[in-house]
Amino acid sequence: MAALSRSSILARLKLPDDLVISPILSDSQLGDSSIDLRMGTVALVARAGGQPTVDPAVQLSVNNDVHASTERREQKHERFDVPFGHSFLLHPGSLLLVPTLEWVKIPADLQGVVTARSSWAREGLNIATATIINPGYQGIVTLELANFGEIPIKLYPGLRIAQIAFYELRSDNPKADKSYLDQSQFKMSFEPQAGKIADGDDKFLLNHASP
Amino acid sequence: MAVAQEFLLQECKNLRDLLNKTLRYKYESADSRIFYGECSARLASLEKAIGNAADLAALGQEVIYLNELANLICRLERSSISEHSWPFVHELKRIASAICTEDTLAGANTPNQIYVLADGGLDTYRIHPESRRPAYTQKRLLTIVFPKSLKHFVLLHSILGHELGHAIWRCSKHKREMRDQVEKHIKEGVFASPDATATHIYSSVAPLNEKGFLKACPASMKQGNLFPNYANWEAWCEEILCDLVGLVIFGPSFVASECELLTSMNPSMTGFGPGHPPTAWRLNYLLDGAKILGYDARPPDAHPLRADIDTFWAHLETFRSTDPWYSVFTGNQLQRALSGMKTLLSRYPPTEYLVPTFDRLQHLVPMLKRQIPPVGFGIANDGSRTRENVDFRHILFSGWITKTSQPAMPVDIINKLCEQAIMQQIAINIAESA
Repeated sequence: MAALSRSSILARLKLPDDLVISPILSDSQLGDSSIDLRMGTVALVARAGGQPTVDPAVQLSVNNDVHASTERREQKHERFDVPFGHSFLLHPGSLLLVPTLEWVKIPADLQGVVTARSSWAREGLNIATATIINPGYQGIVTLELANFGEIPIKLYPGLRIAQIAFYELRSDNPKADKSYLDQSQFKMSFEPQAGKIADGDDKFLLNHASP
Repeated sequence: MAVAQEFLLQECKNLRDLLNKTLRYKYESADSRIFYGECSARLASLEKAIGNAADLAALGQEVIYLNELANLICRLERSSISEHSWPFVHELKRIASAICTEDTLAGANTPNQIYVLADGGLDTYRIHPESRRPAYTQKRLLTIVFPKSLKHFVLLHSILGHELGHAIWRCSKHKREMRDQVEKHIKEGVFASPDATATHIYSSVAPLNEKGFLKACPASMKQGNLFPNYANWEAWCEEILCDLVGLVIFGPSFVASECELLTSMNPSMTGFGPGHPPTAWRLNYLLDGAKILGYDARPPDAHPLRADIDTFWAHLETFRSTDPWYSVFTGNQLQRALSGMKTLLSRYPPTEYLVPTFDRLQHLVPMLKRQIPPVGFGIANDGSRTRENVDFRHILFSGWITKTSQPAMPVDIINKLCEQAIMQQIAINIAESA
């Protein structure tokens, strides 16, 4: 798996129907082997009183109850629009979901990896985990920001807070991979959403699910 | 009278408490201080007027305004910046602030204080201009209402061009010029007088479905008493002018949104309302107006967008009613009225819609087809980044073109891509201006 260099990234950005990072507002966003990503204009913060615990078994148990599952989802986060020129305060120990300002499209033969910019990491701002962006993905990238420091951090939309690097994928069956990707033609993300932690783990969780 | 006066003064105090409580919320993207100050000034002025009211008639006038202010303050509690599309509002405010200005003691061309909220569904699009200001030092409050159900449907939001027309109509600075346009250009032919309009509606050559509509109306409604007993002719004239204002502000997107929204709310496209002329008349003169203004210009045959633009306009033509009864204005009349509107609106940039080049559309539409927000950004062949200022109305137009040429593409996705593009374009403009 080879990482793309600056010139390779630019070459792929120029190709029609290939890699997309849009818009790139300044030349300084382009690094040696990555592109800086900016904070978008939405912030999702977990509501302390929204749910007692994060329990995938309970989440699974309410999946067939439209009211309960929707209520859990809607009450889990507080959503804020943060227009340009405004700011959002991230307190120590808090987790914040924000979109990138950039629209990202990853072609079938690439994978994106998003990490925090080291300059912000030194201030205590971390992207909780390195985020893998799968081939075929299109939309904003959800950044999971956590303040590991002891001082609140003021975040402004448009700030360069993360970076994305690209890796070439090896495929043993490109036709099968493409067919799988084509199924998600109109699936795209416009803003952060709560994760689906229970999906696909029914067998492990069913016996523990309580109403 | 003393009892009423005392009660109304108490109500003023109640409203002040209510106004203070609104500060619990973060409403709008701007500082709430100005809006709070404007409402406080109105309350103070009302308290004074109620206290000094000489008779019951004077007191009655103040009650009307007190209720208007109460509604305004209560709306604040239903508003939050998250309820509407703030990127679209950002752009709409640039237009409204440019044209909806008045001379106050604070200065010439003082913009109205714009306040935005979201409420209801399809029929909620409104702009409420405040009926009066308490003093010449105060700004007029302009409340823009978006349907809450259509938060991301920015393509349809173009319909607010019509509502801006109502706001301009009530703006003291433009009142006379707007009314002159109606007198000189609208009030001719079918609209020469209320009688002439009623005669046309009850004409023997009217289409059968329209005759059926009249039959279904109350038996007491006759040609002789249609205006003013059942419909307001002057209101119809205002509506027509506001349609033309919307056309000159939002261009083809306005025609498309009117076609879509009006036919959704009145699927048979038959009949009229007390305050609005027949839907089919409106769509016909808007389609004619778009042609007169050159909005339907086509690129050369070989241009990659030619087929898409043809499809867009052919789709809009399906909303035209072909019976001559539906064409109530001559081309010359429309030409004069639109020219008058352009003269007024072009004095207040960026109010007037400027036709995009085909190259601009050729940049935006393919982006949208590839499911990328259509903005003024690209990578040139030499690897350099190109950044351009794109008018948000051109983004909307590219959205409508894509909607008609790519029927398989979900309409909510097109709208969200355009909304995302408007937001990104604001960022590009900020970066370029730095």
